[in-house]
Amino acid sequence: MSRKFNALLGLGALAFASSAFAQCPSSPVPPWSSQSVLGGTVAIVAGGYDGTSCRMASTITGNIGGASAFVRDNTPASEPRYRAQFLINLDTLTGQNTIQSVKVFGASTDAPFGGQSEVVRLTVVGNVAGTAKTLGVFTVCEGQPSNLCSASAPLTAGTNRIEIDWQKGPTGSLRVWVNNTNEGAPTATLNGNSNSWGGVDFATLGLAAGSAAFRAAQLNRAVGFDEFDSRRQTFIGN
Amino acid sequence: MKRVLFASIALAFGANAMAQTCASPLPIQSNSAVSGDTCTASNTLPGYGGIPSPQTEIIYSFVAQSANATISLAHTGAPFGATMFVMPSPCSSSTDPIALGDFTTPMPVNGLTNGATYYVIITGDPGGPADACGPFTATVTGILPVELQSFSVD
Repeated sequence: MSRKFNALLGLGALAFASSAFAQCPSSPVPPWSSQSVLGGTVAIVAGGYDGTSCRMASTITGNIGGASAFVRDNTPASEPRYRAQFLINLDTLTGQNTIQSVKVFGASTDAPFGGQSEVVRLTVVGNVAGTAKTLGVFTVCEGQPSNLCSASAPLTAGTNRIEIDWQKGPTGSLRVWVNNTNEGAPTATLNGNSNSWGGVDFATLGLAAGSAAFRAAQLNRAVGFDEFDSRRQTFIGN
Repeated sequence: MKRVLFASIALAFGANAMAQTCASPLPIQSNSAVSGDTCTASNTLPGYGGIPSPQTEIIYSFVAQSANATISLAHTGAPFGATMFVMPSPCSSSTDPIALGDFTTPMPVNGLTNGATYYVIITGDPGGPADACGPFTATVTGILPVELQSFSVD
């Protein structure tokens, strides 16, 4: 679970072991700031997704509203521009359909506006038949219904590399790359006025806000995360 | 009289065209069909809980009474990935739907709370293009609300 890291521009590269043979730590904290495991578990387990030794396994274990299994990074400090990248493997979520939605990443501000504090929210849903998965992309857009804009991007079986670039401003934007390292051609782009929100103050990675249908069908199925990196300016890429 | 009649018709069509939001949903009844065109609607719900929805949608509502129905959805023009959901109250972008279907998979509507208001949302495939839209017909087979067929006092 190692990660390259630009020390000049980076915010945080949350690594656990740089050696492929290192023993996985017993807890994600540190380097993560904290974890939330209400009706869920977060564990560091063997078998990273990028030739490294460990990954994070996030599992919802209780069919209760608000069940969560995520880690939180408090490194950002009112960041007007926030980039992040991580790997995710959802292969254990078999038969996941469209109403079985679950959040996998969020970037939030301590200065919310219009009832929204999460300036970026990424979710995962299936299709109606439960045979394909889609990344749900949400960002704040002042003046739009619910002050939100949304988009989607297809996910593949196996491990997916997801990167975001959120920029606050009257002509703010959220760009998303999915299995795509071409900075000039993001997979999805949302444009909107985000000037009334504060910058990013913390990020969460892991499962949260699972719908009742998700909790009913996908309990005790671990979703793997790896290679989280966040920066202010430079594209992370591969 | 003709002017009054024409004015009434115009108002009726105008109300239908506008009444496609959570605040003003269209009715949907037992054993009936509704038709619409999501290209004429707006995107008033950017999501349904964790489901992204950049596509436009048309919203129907009913008050459940012994609901036990299936809703089938058909394209009546070029296929656009028509998809439908049942959302419990409140109708909002933060509410998770509880049932789904599309043009190949009918949507079961049962197990609902009697007297509660539910919303049927018809939109494009959340995983499809944001501008996907088109005309559709949704056919209800079975009971959504219990309808009064006849009443007499002997």
